[in-house]
Amino acid sequence: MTSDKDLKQLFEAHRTEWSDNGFSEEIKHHLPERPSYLPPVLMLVSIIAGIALTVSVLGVTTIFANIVNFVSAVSLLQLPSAIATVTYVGIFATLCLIGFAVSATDLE
Amino acid sequence: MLNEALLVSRAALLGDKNAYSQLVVAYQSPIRRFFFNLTNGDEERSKDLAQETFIKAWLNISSFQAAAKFSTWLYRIAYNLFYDDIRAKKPTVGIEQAPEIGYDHSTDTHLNMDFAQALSTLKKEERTAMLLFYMEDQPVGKISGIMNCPPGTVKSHLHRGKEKLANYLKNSGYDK
Repeated sequence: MTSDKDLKQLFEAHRTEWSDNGFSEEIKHHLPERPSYLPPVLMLVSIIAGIALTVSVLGVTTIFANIVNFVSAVSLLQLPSAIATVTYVGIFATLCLIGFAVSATDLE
Repeated sequence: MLNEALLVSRAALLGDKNAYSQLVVAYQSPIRRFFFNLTNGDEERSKDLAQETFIKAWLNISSFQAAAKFSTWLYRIAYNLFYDDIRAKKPTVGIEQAPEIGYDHSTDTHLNMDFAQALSTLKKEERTAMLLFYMEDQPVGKISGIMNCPPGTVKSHLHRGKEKLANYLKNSGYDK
């Protein structure tokens, strides 16, 4: 009766190693694109964390007051203060980045 | 040493083809060998099946659960593809027509025999179990996961496979 050892020997004797010969390169070129979700997710998390940190440091009242100052100044055809301008532009840019990050994750 | 977990993560989360390509390089030989022996030495068919396996694994890599080994998961895909392939195609090579591959890697002349012919005497499930156990060194538990059957069934396939091969060796003049 053929033992396990004999069978193992038989199979190992016929265990051939296949050289790559461009096989893996061919596979790589045939791989369809896969969506990458991590960068937009990381961006979104960072933006939200940034907003939370800003609000906690400056306070909602201060930010709101600066926005009001900016809008009032513009409506009265006056130059708004630098702080108000920076606050307004910062919030506008943040909203744009959030929109970009959300649209990047919204893949078909 | 290949950091499989990192490569799989990069492929799954970032769609990193270079990372996946390293996995292909590592596993192309055992997968191609597996198909080559399952298909009775049909090199073209085994290459096509191996390519399909890696592409299917890429498409479904997000569903890979890190609890299992990547090789086990890959063999499972390969096995399922093989089964789908033989259901879709009429076998072109029967037992009587199995090609004489005539491997001669061993210095032991007792083992210089038509390996493909010997394997073709086994049923598909027996051949799969024997190849995974004796050639690819997969334990019964992993084979059970690959073939999606209980370990007891795997042991039955191995037992029957051993008996058939033993008979074939005896009839081929293998002298113990």
